[in-house]
Amino acid sequence: MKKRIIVLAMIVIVLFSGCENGFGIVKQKEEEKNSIKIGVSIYDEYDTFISDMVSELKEWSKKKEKETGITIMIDVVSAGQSQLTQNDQIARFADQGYDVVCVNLVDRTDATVIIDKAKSVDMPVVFFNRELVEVDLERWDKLYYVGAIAQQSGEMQGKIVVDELKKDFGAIDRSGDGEIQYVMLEGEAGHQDALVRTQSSIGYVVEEGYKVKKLGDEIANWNRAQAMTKMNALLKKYSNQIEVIFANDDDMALGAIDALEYYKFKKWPLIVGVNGTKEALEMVKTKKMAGTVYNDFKGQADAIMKIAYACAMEEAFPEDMKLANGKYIYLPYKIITYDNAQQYIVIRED
Amino acid sequence: MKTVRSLLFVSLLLVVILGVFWVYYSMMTEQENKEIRKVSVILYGNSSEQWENLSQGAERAAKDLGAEVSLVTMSGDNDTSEQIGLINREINNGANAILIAVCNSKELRPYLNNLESKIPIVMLETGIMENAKYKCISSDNFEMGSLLARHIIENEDPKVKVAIIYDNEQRDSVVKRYEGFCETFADYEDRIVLWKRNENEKSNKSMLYLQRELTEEAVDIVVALDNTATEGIVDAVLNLNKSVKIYGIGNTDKAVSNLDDNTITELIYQNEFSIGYLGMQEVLGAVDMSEEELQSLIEFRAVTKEDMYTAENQKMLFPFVK
Repeated sequence: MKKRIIVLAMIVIVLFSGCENGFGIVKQKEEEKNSIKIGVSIYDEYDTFISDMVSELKEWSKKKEKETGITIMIDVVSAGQSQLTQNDQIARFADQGYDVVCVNLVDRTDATVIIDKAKSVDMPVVFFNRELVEVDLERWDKLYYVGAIAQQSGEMQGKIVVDELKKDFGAIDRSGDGEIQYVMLEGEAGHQDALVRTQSSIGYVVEEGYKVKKLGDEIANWNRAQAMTKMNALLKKYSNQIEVIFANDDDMALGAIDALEYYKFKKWPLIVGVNGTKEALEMVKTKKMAGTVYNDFKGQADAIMKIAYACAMEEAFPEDMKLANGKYIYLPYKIITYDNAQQYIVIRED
Repeated sequence: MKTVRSLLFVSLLLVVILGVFWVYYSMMTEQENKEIRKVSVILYGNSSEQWENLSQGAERAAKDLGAEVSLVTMSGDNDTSEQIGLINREINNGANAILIAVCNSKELRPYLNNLESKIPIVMLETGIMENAKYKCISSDNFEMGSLLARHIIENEDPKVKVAIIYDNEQRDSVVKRYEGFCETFADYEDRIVLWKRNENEKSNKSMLYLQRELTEEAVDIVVALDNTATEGIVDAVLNLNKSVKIYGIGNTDKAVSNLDDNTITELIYQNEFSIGYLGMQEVLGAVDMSEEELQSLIEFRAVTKEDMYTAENQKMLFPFVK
């Protein structure tokens, strides 16, 4: 009798676990994802480079939807340069069950609130373009960063100027004093990329053996209109003394051009920017800018979305994606001058 | 005896096996019987942030009625073909009902009026002009525009120059607000200038072309007729550090914050929570009212910094704790 009871009990256990597993398989099938929600928070909707990147993120998601049949809802919000606003946006995404968020930090030193909230709901975060400090990125294994190395962009700016100086030093050194007088239009006060670009661009020129003299530097917050205002003031003060204008990004370089056009300057200083935006490429093509440094927004957007999609679908990353330390993807910059500007205009439009 | 015991054992075994399968079957059947209606809410613009109040209203009503909401935004602001694609996609994906804020009233009109849809559709905030096949739930847009004009006439110097941002006129909500404003301001129409985008500014953000307008033309007051225009002019004014009064129609947290810090002089604020709530009730058949009746239930108010914290205004400006 005892044996029979044991046999009976074992049969019941096997049956129940079989049904449980069967039911679990059915449940799993019901939960297979046919749609995902991706939240994207950018620091400022008026930053041209970031706008280009957002357009690429959306294009990528449209193509992926067609390819997979999985509905991808991509919700883009602008933090309006307020970290508090951005924290609230990420909290909303988390509370509304978004699968993953992509964050372009307002304050790169203040990612804690976002990370803590995302971690609390198991929502991976892909940071991009404005790099957070390494210690913060290490706080959780579902945090990633996609961007480019600022030092490289500054050095390339420096190289553009040096190449022009090598071609015709006298044409640039209008004062004939053997020194290059320049002004710097900087991104943000205390911003890592702005500081590094400022330093490395001038550093490169100096290391190549040229003497430089800073006439002035102004913070224009990556903003064209602000750059125009600051450049107006610099032109009033220094006028034809300015031989080179370094701008931490293209929007500010375009602001400088706006100022020069407004004052109808006949002989322009050399102007260099960073990013390779559509309008800046046209300026390079028409020789109003000596050059710019291409920031591969398409490559970065592709990397961001591949990581975000894999996280949302709980899949492994594509095999061709190599993340440094399992977290970082850096894409290289490229120099753009008159000779290759058209090529990049085509690349942008592809 | 042994035979009886064996028979008993086999019977018991059969009972247990049947019992397990019956429990399993019941659980499966219960799953199938729970039919949850799915409502797709398709909104113009690429961000759900500006629609937070409306979507909260829709979610609340959906919860009350046992429905599920799927919020769908666009990749751009005004791509009719994209929005049509989204409507088709949601229908094909099994949506039981659709709520839609159309991105372009004129271009979507033929599509929606000819759509042979077996599922209910209701429009929100902006419709497709007269004789539409589907109801539209919104405030009285004409009256909102008129109210803005009345308050400028009452509160401002008779000699002020007024710029109206004429943007997003492809939506009939903006057109009606504009008509309401102009009709009330008719006696002073020589003081109005219209700010519009140039051909090469069509794809620019509002702030950029408004910066151009602000630098090209000196005005005392700027009138903004929707969220995008209101936020755009605020950003332009702050960026250029200009001193100009803003009378706007808007619903976003940003607009409310700009009202609080006096960047916006007066804000016409409509109860989008109610639009979302009533829209969901209407599309799921919980209510069946005429457009006029629905419109009468959607309140709007003119709010200034001085009165934004009265009990009544707070209730509408801050409908829920975040």
